[in-house]
Amino acid sequence: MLGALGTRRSIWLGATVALTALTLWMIFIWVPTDANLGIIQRALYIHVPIALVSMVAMVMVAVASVIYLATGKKKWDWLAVASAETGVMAGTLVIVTGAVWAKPVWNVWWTWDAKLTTTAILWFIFVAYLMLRAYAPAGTQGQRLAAVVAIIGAIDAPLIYWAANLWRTAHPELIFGPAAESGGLSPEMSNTLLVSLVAFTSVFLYVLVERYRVRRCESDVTDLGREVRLLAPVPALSTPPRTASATVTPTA
Amino acid sequence: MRASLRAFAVVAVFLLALAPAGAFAISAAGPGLAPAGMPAAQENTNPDTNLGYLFAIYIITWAGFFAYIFIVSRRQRSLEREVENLRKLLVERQGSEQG
Repeated sequence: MLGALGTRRSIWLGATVALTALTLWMIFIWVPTDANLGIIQRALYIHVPIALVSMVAMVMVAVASVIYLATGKKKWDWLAVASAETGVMAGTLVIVTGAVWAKPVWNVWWTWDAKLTTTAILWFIFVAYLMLRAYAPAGTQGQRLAAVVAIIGAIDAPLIYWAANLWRTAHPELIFGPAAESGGLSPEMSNTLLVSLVAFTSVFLYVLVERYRVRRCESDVTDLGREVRLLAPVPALSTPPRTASATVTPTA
Repeated sequence: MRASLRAFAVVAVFLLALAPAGAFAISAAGPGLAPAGMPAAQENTNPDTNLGYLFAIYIITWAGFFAYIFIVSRRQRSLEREVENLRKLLVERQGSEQG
């Protein structure tokens, strides 16, 4: 069973690696250079897929949290934690790569644009979620509180998606998804973006599964530790019991 | 897990080797590959000034992913060791209780 699982994971990893290599070939060699932005536009094929993956991860945290609150099953809580950590990691990369892209194009590293600000808010909410998970008392109370934070935080995800359409922003308009205007990208560019999106989704899922396994292992350690403590021998008393003469009585 | 890590390391080296080759190809071709129907570039198309930013974006992204995978795999290995130790301890304690 474990062998089959390992083989399946190896095939998955191999496919991800092949897709990533194909993506890089398409980005650096196959796709034409954008006429307006020049070569820096090639950052799009990495920035947009990570942004989408990060947003999907945050929404996944909320969905897993809702199911956890409804069913109380631990596996949904593990999925929420794994997804939150992976999402925060991807979110950090989105903010950093966005800043590096903004510098040559807007001449600033950061601006309080609606899309950037809502993304930063989502990132802070999920960092708070992870902090709550780390510092809340052990037991289901902390898990349930964190689940509520995740559900409230995920409301920000659609706002990020529609920010460029809702407000006048410096950030380019949507090029992907149901609200995107068609014709923004050439067919080569759209295909490259699509392949890159599939590759990054595969990388994200692989990392998510690994993180989920770690969370399950952490739970095993907690359960086993509890069992070991229950079986621990009662320690012998090292100090003699107090006698009546040894007790100090307050004097009037 | 260790095999996966090794595979990722090989890919990392491959990707990092491929990226500069591609970037030099772009640099040699110049900005004249505009898609049909789009105006010719006038601004921000100097490969010498923007190539560094493009590199930075790709290196930050892949370094971030690999660093995270490395941290997760280390944590996994340490937890597996801990589970193994606890299982042994549990068997010992159960044996001493029955004895």
